[in-house]
Amino acid sequence: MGKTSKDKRDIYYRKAKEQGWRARSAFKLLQIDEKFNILNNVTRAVDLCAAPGSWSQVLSRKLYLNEEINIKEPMHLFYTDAIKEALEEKPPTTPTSPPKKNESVKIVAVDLQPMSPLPGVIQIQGDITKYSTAQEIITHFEGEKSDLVICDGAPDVTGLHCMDIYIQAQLLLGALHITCNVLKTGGTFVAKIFRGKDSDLLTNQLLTLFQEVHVAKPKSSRNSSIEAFVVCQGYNPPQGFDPKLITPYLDVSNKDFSTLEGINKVIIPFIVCGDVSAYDSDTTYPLQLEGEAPYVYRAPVQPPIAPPYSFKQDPTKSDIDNFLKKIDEAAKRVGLGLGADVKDLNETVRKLSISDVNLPSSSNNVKGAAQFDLPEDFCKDDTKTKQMFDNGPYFDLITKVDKVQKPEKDNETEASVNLRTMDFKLMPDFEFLYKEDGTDPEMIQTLLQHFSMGNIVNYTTCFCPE
Amino acid sequence: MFNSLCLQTDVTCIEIIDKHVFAGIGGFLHIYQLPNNNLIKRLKIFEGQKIYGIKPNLNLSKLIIFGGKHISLTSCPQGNFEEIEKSTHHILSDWILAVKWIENDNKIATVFMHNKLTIWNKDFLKEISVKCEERCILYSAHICYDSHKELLILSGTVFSEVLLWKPLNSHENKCSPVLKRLKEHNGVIFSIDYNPDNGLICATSDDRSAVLWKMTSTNPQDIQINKLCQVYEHLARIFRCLILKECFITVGEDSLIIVWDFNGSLLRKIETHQGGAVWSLGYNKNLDVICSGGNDGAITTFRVNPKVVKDYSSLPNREIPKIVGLLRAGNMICLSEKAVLYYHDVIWQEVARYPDLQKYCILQISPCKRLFALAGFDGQIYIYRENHLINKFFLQHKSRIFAFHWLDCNRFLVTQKDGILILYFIFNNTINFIQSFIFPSSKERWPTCACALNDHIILGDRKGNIYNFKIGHESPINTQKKSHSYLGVTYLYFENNLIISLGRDGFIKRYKLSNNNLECIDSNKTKFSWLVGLENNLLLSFSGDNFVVSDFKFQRILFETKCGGGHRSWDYVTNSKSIIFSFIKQKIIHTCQLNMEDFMPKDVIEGFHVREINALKVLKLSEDYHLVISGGEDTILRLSIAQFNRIKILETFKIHLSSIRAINYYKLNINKYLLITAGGRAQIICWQIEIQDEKISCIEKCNFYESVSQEEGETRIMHLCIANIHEQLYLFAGRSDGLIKIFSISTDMNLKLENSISHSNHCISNLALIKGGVNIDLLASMATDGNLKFWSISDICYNQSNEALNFFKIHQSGITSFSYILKDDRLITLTGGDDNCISLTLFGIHKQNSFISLAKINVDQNFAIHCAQITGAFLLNGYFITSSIDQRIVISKWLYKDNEVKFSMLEKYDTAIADPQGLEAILDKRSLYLYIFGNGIECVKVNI
Ligand SMILES: C[S@@+](CC[C@H](N)C(=O)[O-])C[C@H]1O[C@@H](n2cnc3c(N)ncnc32)[C@H](O)[C@@H]1O
Repeated sequence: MGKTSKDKRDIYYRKAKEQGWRARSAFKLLQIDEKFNILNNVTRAVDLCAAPGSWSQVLSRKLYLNEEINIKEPMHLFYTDAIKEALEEKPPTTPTSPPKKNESVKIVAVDLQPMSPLPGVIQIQGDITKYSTAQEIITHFEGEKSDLVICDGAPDVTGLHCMDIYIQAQLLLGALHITCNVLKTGGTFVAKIFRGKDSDLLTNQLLTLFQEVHVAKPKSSRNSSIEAFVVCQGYNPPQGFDPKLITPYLDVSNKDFSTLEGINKVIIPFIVCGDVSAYDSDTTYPLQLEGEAPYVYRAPVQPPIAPPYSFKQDPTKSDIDNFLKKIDEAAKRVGLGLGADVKDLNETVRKLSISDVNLPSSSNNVKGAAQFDLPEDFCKDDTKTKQMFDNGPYFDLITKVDKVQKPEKDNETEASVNLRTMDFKLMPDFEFLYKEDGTDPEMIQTLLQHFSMGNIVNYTTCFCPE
Repeated sequence: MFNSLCLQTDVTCIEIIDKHVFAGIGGFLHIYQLPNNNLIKRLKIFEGQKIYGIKPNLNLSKLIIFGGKHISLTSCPQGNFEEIEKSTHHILSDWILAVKWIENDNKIATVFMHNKLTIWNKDFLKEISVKCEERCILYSAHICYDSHKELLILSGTVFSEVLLWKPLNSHENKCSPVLKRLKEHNGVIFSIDYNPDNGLICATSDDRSAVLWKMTSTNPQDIQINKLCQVYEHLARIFRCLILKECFITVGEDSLIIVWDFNGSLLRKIETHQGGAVWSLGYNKNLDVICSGGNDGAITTFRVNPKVVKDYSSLPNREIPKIVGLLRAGNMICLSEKAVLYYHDVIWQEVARYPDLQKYCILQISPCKRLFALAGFDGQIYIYRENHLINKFFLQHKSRIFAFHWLDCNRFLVTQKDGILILYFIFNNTINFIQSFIFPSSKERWPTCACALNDHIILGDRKGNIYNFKIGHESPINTQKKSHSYLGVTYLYFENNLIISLGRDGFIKRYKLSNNNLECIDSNKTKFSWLVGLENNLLLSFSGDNFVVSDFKFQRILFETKCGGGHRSWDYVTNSKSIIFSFIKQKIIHTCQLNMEDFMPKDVIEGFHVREINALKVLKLSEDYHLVISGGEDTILRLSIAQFNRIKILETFKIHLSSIRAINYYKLNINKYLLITAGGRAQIICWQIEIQDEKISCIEKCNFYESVSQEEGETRIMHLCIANIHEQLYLFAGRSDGLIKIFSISTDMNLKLENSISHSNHCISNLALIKGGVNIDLLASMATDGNLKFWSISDICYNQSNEALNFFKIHQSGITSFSYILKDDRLITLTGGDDNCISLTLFGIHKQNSFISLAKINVDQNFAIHCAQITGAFLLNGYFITSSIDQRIVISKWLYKDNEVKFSMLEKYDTAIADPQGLEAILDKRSLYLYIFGNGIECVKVNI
């Protein structure tokens, strides 16, 4: 346990930190691009629901800074010899001069939360489902429309799947509304969806607006997660289409996929992206991968600069109290109560739960950062960490304390004769029991009878006379 | 074709109507009668859509039931709930958040997620729709008042605000203005309640707080609202609230139900639903009962604010109390610092003075709570019955008595130096020496607790060891070393011929005596630490400064009181109804007495798993009588019986350190099974199940896990298979690091690692044995790489070859479900993947000498039947069943002809089980019983 535990559980989380991405989500976009080439020839792009900004980072580095991003490069585990050779043949990529910036690139990133700046990225803080936010984005693309809109938004999930899926669909609608206003004909739209009850109806409707629609699952997105992405290419709205009336286009009420007909029944192909050499986010890998530099723990790259809600950013007294209470409890639970070890323990607990995200410099929050590091685990991760805290660390604490606990001194030694207060002579009516009195066989007999009466310990029936 | 027999999943809605609990479980309405909790009606309202609200009209002749976009009117002739019937069903254009009967039950008002109100007439024809000017998404809404004119809508937004608006002041196309914004929260508003009787509004949020406001004027021009309080005590998001006459209640994701007064002071805190979220709340004035429904599928009722009688007293003459004890009738005894013994029935009375006990004294009360003993530093012992001294004597060695233990009211055990233990027997008012024992040498060489079973005496010590002594033997017959870690054994007792031990490590262990040896049969970790007592499902423990009473079965805290911790002097006494606890704090003797009946929540439905069930197996015991074995994210293994449309939990085991992901069994003989469970931390546990008529027992036999080094990842075991090869059992464990480990299973159910093979560098998602045909014995392994690999079992078990026979790429990503039929040399496999794809593949098996190879002959695939990960597959002649995260259970027809396989969908059923993780099928004559498990469990009978 401890700060490396997340590294152990999640290869992409670790890789994101090693490669300087703000969130592991970056790999999802990169793997989608690898398959669909959505970033080719893009100069204007919109990133909806962008915080903490790893997708914007990809856009910024690839489009604005003109960097080559080779996601395969650091992945040694599955090198086929061919790739290895290809890499070796390449001259070392120490560029003589940094690639030229592409000043004509325009990237607009929108989120409810602020995020730290990125080169070439214009930020808007707002709610994408609100009309006013949509207007603000649209003004940035007056004249020239955007080539690409991407949206990785996820709602505050409740844990009730049907409601979460519905709200996610509303977020997609919000994104689509903006898209229809800013995307040029032929442009590309990529958005997160939740695969679940009736999600086929929703994705199917996108065919009325785009020439080609795929549902993509990047390998970096966990198999067990219901998240997937719609990749819609070739924007081609019907004649006379009014983006304001988007909702009726996506009305899935009262329908059932099996009852659809004609074009409506076209099945959206499902594509897994990320090639054979890509890591698999469900697989357990050792921390030390073959052919890699020795593993070192790294702190997360860039937590969001303001978390969604201020209580997370700035814990209230009750939050702190709760946290302390928990620590206290943990310490007491293992039976230490007081003493220097408590400090140690508190430290352990603190490390166990938050050091992954506790950067020395920023006033970042605990929960927010953790959330953004593993966003697609929306429904499981929180409970999982909770569980870890409940089961894992306590369990480990107990074993840990086992070692530090020193046996209590027997302070009541036989030498403390001054405790002897009895004056025997003053107690003539005292009976003295000598074990040499011998064991009376009759007594043993009685005792055995006593057993046959049962071993009664509760008070309704005991051996006491009434 | 599909007939849902029983369903246990999230209880998303509760309404108490006329002494009946109406509950929405999945798409089914359940009606239970209070207080006996009998299910009187179960009615399917929606298929696959959860019920989120039930609203009766005033004379209870009609109910509106809604969930998602669906809404249904049901009629209830003469208010007879057993005859309730569904009359109409509508699907509206948006998610419904709130519904209310208005205008004397002549109209219905609904509020939608997009902040819109619609009013319908009795026949559900639309009359008017009004939008609020703030067009955003709501997570909650509440409709206040009963007439169209007065209607006031409270909308809870994603962005922390509660909006107040009235539909009255708007025209057809204009939007209603927001009259007031309540901005006290810092996150999504999950619920809003309003009580018209006292004008209070409560809203709960993602920020873990609830805010209470008082509305003093509802005049649209000048709405007056004052904040009364904001409460923080929940550890996670708050999902529901309810305002009663004198208090309000909040429930949330942390499983807590908290009752508050209107100043924001906490009145009662109850843990329910085993740590899972609480989704629903109901209240009944007449019964003074609250009812909650949760993620574990339980429905629980409890009293709002049961009484605790608290008392404080001090000793006469300003004596300082030192040791306190409670006797059977609730009478107290107390020894003061000056060694004066006091007795309390109505008042404190001096009984005796013992200057010889002033510096050192042990006070022990017999298990029957009628006798007590005072033991001193010089070997002196005084025995009392209530306040009468019945015996006093010296031990032969006039030396310190380290410990004194009552075994029952006739036998006691004293410990002196060098671990000498002496057993005495009280007979005819005389004390008789029976024999002495030697306690094994250790730092603190005396027992901390003792109990006797027949002629055995079981002792626990500070080091967590448990010793088994037998009369006639001086030394222990056997010892359970470190049974309770170093923290020590706190309490020992017996019940039904089993010994039970409690420890400060939070474990409860059970032992049996077999051939005079003490054997541990199971061990349960509770979520509490310093356990001190367990009586009739009441578990008593200390946590920090608190004394905690909880219910053992569900481990929920029922009562807590600050007492300064278990290091002080304390005692308790219980009887069938109440519990009295007393302790000394700041020189005062405190007591609290509670009537446990009032504190104990009562389950209308018992809770099942919290969060997902990952693995489930069903044993058919007889027709329509199934043993269900399940495990999941909550780490608990459950054995339950499914019969007569209900699931009854037999036993729960909390031994896995992490989530359970795989379960498999092997039938040893007619009533004996080997059960193996595995999951996180690569832990594997073997159990033995014995079935004797109605009695089913399950005993842990072997608990296997490898300690992991720093560098290794955290490996999970994903799937298990058990094979019998020449009368030797083998276990195959598929792991998240792509390895399959092969163990031999000994007759006493211990595991020995024999071999380890690698599927690939991908997480194993499934394993299966393929047996039959022309002497075919294969293992099939599947992983997140989409490959299906075949292995020769004898090769890999006998270490002859670690190479697969063949492999085939069947899916784009993980293969999550598998089923097969073997026809001579043709193998037909049904696989489902994370890629939505169902694949029916035909293989030919070629066998030459001992060399086997497979070839793919034909395949049929379908991507459209499901639209999310496929998690379950079951193949039988002519038909197959698949289940998926999209909550569809689909039955398809298939054909095998001329070396070709083909299939097409026949029919589907939408289950309300969210996140279905799999499907278990039991074939019974012409019916098929399907167990769908995930976030809950549903049993569906299919007639083919
Ligand atoms: C999974 S994160 C996005 C991660 C991001 N793509 C990255 O790579 O760093 C989801 C984001 O959606 C944002 N979001 C959710 N609902 C939103 C809304 N209605 N408007 C704008 N942003 C929203 C959240 O604030 C959150 O930052």
